Amino acid sequence: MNMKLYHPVVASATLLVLIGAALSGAPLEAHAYAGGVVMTGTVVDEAGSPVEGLPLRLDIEHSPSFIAASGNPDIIPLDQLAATTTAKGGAFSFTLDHIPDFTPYLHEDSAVSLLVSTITEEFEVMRHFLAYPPAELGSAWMWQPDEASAEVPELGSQYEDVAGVVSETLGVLTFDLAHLADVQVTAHSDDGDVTAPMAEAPIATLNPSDTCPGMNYYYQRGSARTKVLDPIQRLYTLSKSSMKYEWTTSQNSRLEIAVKGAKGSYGGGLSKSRMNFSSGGMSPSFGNNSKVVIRAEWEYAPYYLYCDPWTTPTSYYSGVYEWRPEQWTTGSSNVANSNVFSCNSKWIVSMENPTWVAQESGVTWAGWFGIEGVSLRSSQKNSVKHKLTVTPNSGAKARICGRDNWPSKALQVREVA
Amino acid sequence: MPGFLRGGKATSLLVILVLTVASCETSREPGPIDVPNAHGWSYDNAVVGKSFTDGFETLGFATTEPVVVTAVHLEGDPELQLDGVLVADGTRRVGATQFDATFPPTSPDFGRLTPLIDRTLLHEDLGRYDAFELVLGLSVTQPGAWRRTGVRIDYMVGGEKYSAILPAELIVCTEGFEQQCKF
Repeated sequence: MNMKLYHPVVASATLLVLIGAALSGAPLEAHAYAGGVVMTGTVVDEAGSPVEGLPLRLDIEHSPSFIAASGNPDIIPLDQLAATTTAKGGAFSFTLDHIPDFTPYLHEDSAVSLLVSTITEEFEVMRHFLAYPPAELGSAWMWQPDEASAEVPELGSQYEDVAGVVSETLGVLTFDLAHLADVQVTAHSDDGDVTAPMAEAPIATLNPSDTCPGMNYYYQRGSARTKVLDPIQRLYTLSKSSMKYEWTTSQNSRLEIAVKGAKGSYGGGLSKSRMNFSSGGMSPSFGNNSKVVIRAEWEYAPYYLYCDPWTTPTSYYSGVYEWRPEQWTTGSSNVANSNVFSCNSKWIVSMENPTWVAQESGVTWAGWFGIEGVSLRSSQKNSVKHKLTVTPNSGAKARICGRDNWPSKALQVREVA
Repeated sequence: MPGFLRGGKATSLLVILVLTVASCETSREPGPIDVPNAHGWSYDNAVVGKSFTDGFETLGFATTEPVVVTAVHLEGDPELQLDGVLVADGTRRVGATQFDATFPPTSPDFGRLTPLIDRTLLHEDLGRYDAFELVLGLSVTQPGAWRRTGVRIDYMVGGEKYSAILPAELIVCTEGFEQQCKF
């Protein structure tokens, strides 16, 4: 996918540096409670081999409201929380001596946005996490509930025809965690295309000429925009039922970030949409014999990563940028879905009355979409109306089936003969 | 000390005791029961005093040990009452049959039906399914639109008591209230 990008305006660099220095120069206020281990995990390369000796840093992003109040909404300052180096087996651990005042970082739902990253000659790591910091002495950092229960979606899913490309690399990311620990992240080697399998495992050696370590850095939001259609649900009816899907965005709608750097393009973790502070929604209905994928259109914007050395007055563009979701455009599209899923007959339910099912209380992996050849995921925490209603024809008994569970538990249901 | 105060003290102690017991009851863990996502359905042709069958819920457990369900309660409007509780095992024809106009149901799709309360549910009785079918007999006591928000299941596994609420909404409406039976 070719897209025109607009690099940051050089003339504004000085102003950016001043803002960045003003924000990042303020020391993090220590509170009385202990910090301890924030995150542990491993780094593996795309072949699954552990990466040893890789420097990593943990940063925290300023909150959208704090950024808005700063007068420059296009800058996302990052403050470093901790740094470490991966040990044998790729293991790493971020430990804090204290926990800072989280006021500048807290989102409306009290979550904070963390970034684990490094950029070396051999590897790039850039992974966002949303987490709840501890509120009490000695408490653990917690994932957002939907992320804690998230399952890595199957590769080569039925959405492949819609998304175009399915990334093999995404399969090694694990999020099956109750606490902010045991994270596995992937170091992307100089392959250029994560969708192509590596011919051989990359050499996991550390080159001392790191790009940003030891510096602060921040993002600048670019003016380019791109739109993607994100599959959010599939409907499949036969002759005895109709279906209506009610879907809304919310503050908890999250889509995956696409990262573009010197080492190629890859998924960079889930991000909330920047501007969806209020909800919008749609409720498409389909009658008998419908096979469709419902897609919502999202707008993405590029965020350029700048390194900000303490020793010089100017920052510089690192060569890495991310596509982050901006907002739902209110656009949508329904496409014929030729890849109808099958379901086990033991989950067939006989239904005679209007019924709403497939409301997932946790995370919804609805499908794949692509930016820059990277297959991305969407996620929605369904704290608002988000449900599939099945209505049997008048006087008829319809048989519906959950894709991988009972209809009251499955993410997707369909009618069966 | 005046007698009424002594009585009041005794009453207070009794209240505290009752509250403590109640608190213990409600603080039970959900245990290995398989709690589904929130879901629901509606029935807009109810007749006051006439029982019908809700068979949409299933009872699955993340254990192969015997399970004994000791009680089933409805959460929500009291005008929607529970008339009986049966269970369908692995002999049923489909995973769940949502509705039957009578209770006990007459459809052969339910297979073998037995009273649920205090019956020992054995893993081998599941047949090809992952769960039993909970078969509830329900009726409304007054005309109107009445809503159930969930079904509480009290049960025992290995001598341990558990309690869980299945988030199973149901709106039941009598004639004249059909418009309130929509989600």
